[in-house]
Amino acid sequence: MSNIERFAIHDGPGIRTTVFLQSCPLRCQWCANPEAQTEGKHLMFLEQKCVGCGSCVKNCPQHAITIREGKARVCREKCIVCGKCAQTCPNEALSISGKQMTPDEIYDIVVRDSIYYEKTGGGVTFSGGEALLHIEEIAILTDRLRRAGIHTAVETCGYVPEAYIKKAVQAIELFLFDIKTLDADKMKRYTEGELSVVLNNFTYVAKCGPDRVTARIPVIPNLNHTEKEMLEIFQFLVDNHVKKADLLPYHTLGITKYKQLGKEYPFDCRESLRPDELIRYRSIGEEMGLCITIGG
Amino acid sequence: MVKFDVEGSQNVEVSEKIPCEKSLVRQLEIMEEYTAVHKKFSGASKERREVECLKVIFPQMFRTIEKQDLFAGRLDFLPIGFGTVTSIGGVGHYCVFNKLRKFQEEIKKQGEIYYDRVENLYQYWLEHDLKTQYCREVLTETTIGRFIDVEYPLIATARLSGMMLDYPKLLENGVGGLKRIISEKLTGTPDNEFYKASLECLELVTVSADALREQAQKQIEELKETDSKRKQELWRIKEGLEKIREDKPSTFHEALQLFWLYALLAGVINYGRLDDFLGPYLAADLDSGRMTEQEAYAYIKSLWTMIENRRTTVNGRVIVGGKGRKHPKEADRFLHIAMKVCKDCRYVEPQFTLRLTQDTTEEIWKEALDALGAGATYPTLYNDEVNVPAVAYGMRVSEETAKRYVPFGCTEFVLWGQSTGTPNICINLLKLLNIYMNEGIDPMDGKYKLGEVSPKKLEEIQSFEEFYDGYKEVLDYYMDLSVQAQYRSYGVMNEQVSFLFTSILMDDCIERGKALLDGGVRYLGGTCETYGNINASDSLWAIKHLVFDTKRYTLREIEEAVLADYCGYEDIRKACLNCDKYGNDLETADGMANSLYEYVSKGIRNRGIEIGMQYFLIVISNNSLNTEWGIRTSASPDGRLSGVYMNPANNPQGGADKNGPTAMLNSLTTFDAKYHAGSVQNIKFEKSMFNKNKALIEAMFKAYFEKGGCHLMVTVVDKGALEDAMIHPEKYPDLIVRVAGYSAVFIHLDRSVQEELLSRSLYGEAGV
Repeated sequence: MSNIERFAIHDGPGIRTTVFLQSCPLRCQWCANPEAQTEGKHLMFLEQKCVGCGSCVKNCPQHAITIREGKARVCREKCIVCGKCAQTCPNEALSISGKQMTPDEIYDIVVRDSIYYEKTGGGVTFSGGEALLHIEEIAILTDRLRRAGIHTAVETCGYVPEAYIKKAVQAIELFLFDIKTLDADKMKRYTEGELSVVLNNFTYVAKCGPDRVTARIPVIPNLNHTEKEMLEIFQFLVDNHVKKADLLPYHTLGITKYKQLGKEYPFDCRESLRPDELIRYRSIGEEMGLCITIGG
Repeated sequence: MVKFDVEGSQNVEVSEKIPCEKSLVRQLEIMEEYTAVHKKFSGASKERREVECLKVIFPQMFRTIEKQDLFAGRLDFLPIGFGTVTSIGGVGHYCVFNKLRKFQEEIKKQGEIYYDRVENLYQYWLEHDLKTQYCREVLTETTIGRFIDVEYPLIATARLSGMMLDYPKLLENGVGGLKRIISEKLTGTPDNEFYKASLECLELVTVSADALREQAQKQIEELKETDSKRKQELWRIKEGLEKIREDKPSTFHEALQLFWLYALLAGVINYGRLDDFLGPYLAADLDSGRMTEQEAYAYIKSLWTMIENRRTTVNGRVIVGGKGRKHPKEADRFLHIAMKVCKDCRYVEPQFTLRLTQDTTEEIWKEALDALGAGATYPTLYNDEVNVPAVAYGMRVSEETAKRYVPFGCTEFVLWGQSTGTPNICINLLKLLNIYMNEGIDPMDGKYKLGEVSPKKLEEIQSFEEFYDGYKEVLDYYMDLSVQAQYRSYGVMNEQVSFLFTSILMDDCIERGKALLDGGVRYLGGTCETYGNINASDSLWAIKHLVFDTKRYTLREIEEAVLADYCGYEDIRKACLNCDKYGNDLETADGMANSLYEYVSKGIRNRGIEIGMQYFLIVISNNSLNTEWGIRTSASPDGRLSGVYMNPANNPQGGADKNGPTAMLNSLTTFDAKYHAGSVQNIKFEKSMFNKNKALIEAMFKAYFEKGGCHLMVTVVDKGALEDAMIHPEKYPDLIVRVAGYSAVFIHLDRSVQEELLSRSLYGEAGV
C-alpha cells in the first residue's frame, strides 16, 4: 500500500479514512498518484527540499547518489530502494513510498476514528492504484469493518476481471466508480485500457444496486471536456439507473509526483481546470435528473 | 540579595495601548498626589491606605465619553497607581518602572525639573512597588526569575489575575443596597477596617457615576440642535448614571452601565457569564417594548468596543452558554445577539467564550460555526460535559459549584464570585529536562540551576525508569518552589492591600468581614502555567526508544548531539525526529505525554492542597510565551533545535502531527481533564475548506467532545494567512486546507502545490 489518509472528506460520505493500495492496470496520462501505479517501494525525491548536505551520498550502499549544483542526483538504475538515504535526509527531500501492511494492521489504524465515522455517516474507502486488485485482502478487512459497524467504499477504475467485481459487490457497500470516457479509442490512447471491460463491470454493479454507485467523472481536457461527451456519459448513467455523479476537475498535482519519481509527466495539458468551469456540466446532468457534485 | 531588572516587561503585551488623554504635567501631578497619599497613610491600616489612594485615581482618571459610546466609562492608567493585574496598570500599589522611565524621557523635553520630579517618584517606588517587594523576597539567583525573564526554568510574580466578580449581587442590590448590607455589618463590628473602607469604595462608585453624568450633561449642552440622535443617547447615559449611582438598575442599559462602571473601578479585565447576568434585563426590555432588538445589538456592540479598547491582549473574557445558568432562556437571548456582534466585529477582544453541553441547540452551534467561518476566531469552545466534573474533582467542590467555572486569560478556570485562580507561576518543563541531562547546568548560559539537587552522571544511568526518576526528582524540586512562590504571592499582596472593590463582590468577604486574601475568599485557589510539555514528553520518548529500547545511541551520545545543537550530529537529529511524536494518535508518544502530564499535574495539585490552598492546578495555555521561552531553551532530544519555539498549548510541536485532524484530536483527548484547570487545544482550517464542510466539522467537534475533549480554539484563515504560512511555516503547524480531492496540512504540501492552491483561491470557488 502507499498511504493511509485520515480525515478524508472527499472520498465518499462523511469523514473517512482512505487506504491507498498499490498497483494499477491503467496508465491514465493525468494520473495524480503515479507512485501507486506499481507495487513495491519507490524512492521519491523532492528537489526543492534538498539542501545538498550529502548525507544521502554517505549512506547510499549502491553509490547511486551524487551532488551536482548543490542538489542530490539519484541514479535510478543503480538504486535498489533500500531507503537508507531517506532515513538520514534531514529535510525529507528523499522519502520512500510504499510499504507492506496486513489487513489487521490497517484495521487497527482505521478503527481509531470510529466515532467520527459514526457521527458523520463516514467510514473507510479503499483507493489506489486500483484497490480491487487486492480484493482478497480487502474482503478480510471489510468483514471485520462490517462487524464493527463501519461503512466501506471503494474507488475503482473498473478495469479489473469480472470475478473481482463480483467479489467486491459482496464485500463492499459503496462504489465510487470512474467513468472517464465512452470513446473506446480515447480510452485506449489515454489510459491503455479496454472500455468494454469497464462498462460491463459498471453495468453489473449498477444492476446489483444503483444506489450503491456514485460515478466519478474526471473532467480532463482533450478527453471529455465537451458538452457532447458529458451528455453521453450522463445518459449512460441514466440508462443504468445510477443517480449520483461527482465531476472532478483536472488538476496538475501529479506533475510534482512524477518529478519526485524521476519520471516524465506524460500528459500535454499543464493547466488545472477551475471548478466553476464545470458548472455548465452540472446543470446538464441535473436537468437529466442526476445529482451532481463538483469536486467530490 | 538577588538582582533583577525592575524595568523588565511584566507581561506579554501585544496590543498597542491608547495613550492617556491628560497632559504629561497633569499626569505627573496625579502620580505625585498618589505617592503623597501613599506616604501619608503609611501608618494607617492597609484598607484605609488603599481607599485613600483610590480616591486620588477616581473619578479623575476617567476619560471623556466618546462619540460612539452608548454607556459611560473609559479609564486611563498611569505608570503609578493601584490595580490588580499587570495587563492594565499594575498590581496593588504599583509602579511600572519601564513605563515611568519612558514617561520621564518624554516629560524631560518640557524641562529638566520634571525629570527630577519623576526621579523622586522612581526612587520612592523602588521601595514600595508591591511586585518589586515580592520579587526581592522570592526570586533567586538561578532558579526563580521574574515575569518574564526567560533565562530561568521558573518565573514567579504577584498579581491577582482572572477575578470574575459576583455581578448578580451588585445588580440585585445596587450600590445603595450594598452600602446598607455593609453598614449593618459594621454596626456589629464598628472597628472593622474592611467594612469602613468598603463603604468608602462604594461611595466612589457613586462619585464616579456623578462625574460621568456631569460630563454627559456637558456634552449634551455642547451638541448641535440637529444632532437629536446623539442627544438622546447622551440623555440615556445621563439618566442611567443618575439611577445607578445608588439604586439598583431596572433596564438592560442601566444594568450594563453599572456592571461596566464597577468592573472598571475594580480593575478587573475578565467579565464572566454576562448572558446569565444581563439576559433577564435584556429580555424584560425587549418584551415590554422598552428596547428594540437593534438597540440591544448596538449596546452589546458598544460593550465589545469598550472591552476591545482596554487592550489587555489575553483577557477580556465574556462567557455565554453552559450549565448552571439561573436564567437560561433569557441568557440565550443575550447569547444570540452577542454571537452576531462577535461575527460582525471580529475584534481580538473580548475573548468570546461559548460553553457547550449535550443540550446546546443546533441553532447555537450553527451561529458559532458561522462566526468562526467568517474569520472571527471566536467563540472559543468549552465542553461542560467534561469540564464540570473535572473542575469538581480538581478544585474539590460539588458539581453544582463547579458549574460556576469560567475560563479567564489564556484559559485558566476560576469559580466566579467564589475563588481566586491567578497563575503567578510559569514553569518550563523542557528547560528543566535539558538542565537535568546536562547534570544541572543550563546549556544556554552555563549556570547551575538545580539548587541542592545533584543529578546522576549519564553514564551511571542503567534504565529508562532510572533516567525518568532522575528527571522527576528535578520536577519535584521545582514543584516545591512553585507552590511556595504562589502561596507567598498571596501573603505579600495581603500584607500590602485588600483589593477592596474585588473583595466586596466575592464570597465570603462581606460575610466574614475580611478582605479577599485576608481569609475572605471562599476558595483560595491558584494556577501554574506549564510550558514545553510536549517537547519534554517527545524527548523522553525519543530517549526511551533510541537509548534504552533499540540501543541505537547512548545517553551521552544524545547529550553530545543536543549540546552541539546537532551540528555534526545530523544523523542523530534525524533519528530523534523520526521517533514517534505526540499528536499522531500513537499510544507510544501520547502515552509518554500523559505520563509526564499526570506526574506534573498531580504533583502540583497535591502540593497546593498540602500548603493549605483549596486548589493549585496546572494550566496548559495559549500565548506567545512558548515562543519567547523557546528562544532561551537549548536543543532537545525530540529533535528541536536550540532557540526554536516550543510546542503551543496542548498541541504537538509545529509540523509533528502528520495524521490529520482526527488523529490530532484523538491525541488531545489523552489527558484526564480533572488534573488541570484549563488546557488549550488549537485547530486551524482554511476558509473555503471550513465553510464548505461545516456540517462535517461540527460533527467532528461533537465527536471529539464526546471522546473527552475539553476545549477547542478554532481558527479559520484566508488567503493572506496561506501566503504567510509559506514564509513562516512554524506559525501554521496545523492549518488544514482543501487540496484537490483531499484535505491536508498546508505546510506539509510541496511548495508548488502551495502555490497552486494560492492561485486557485484567487479565483475562489464561487458557485460550487
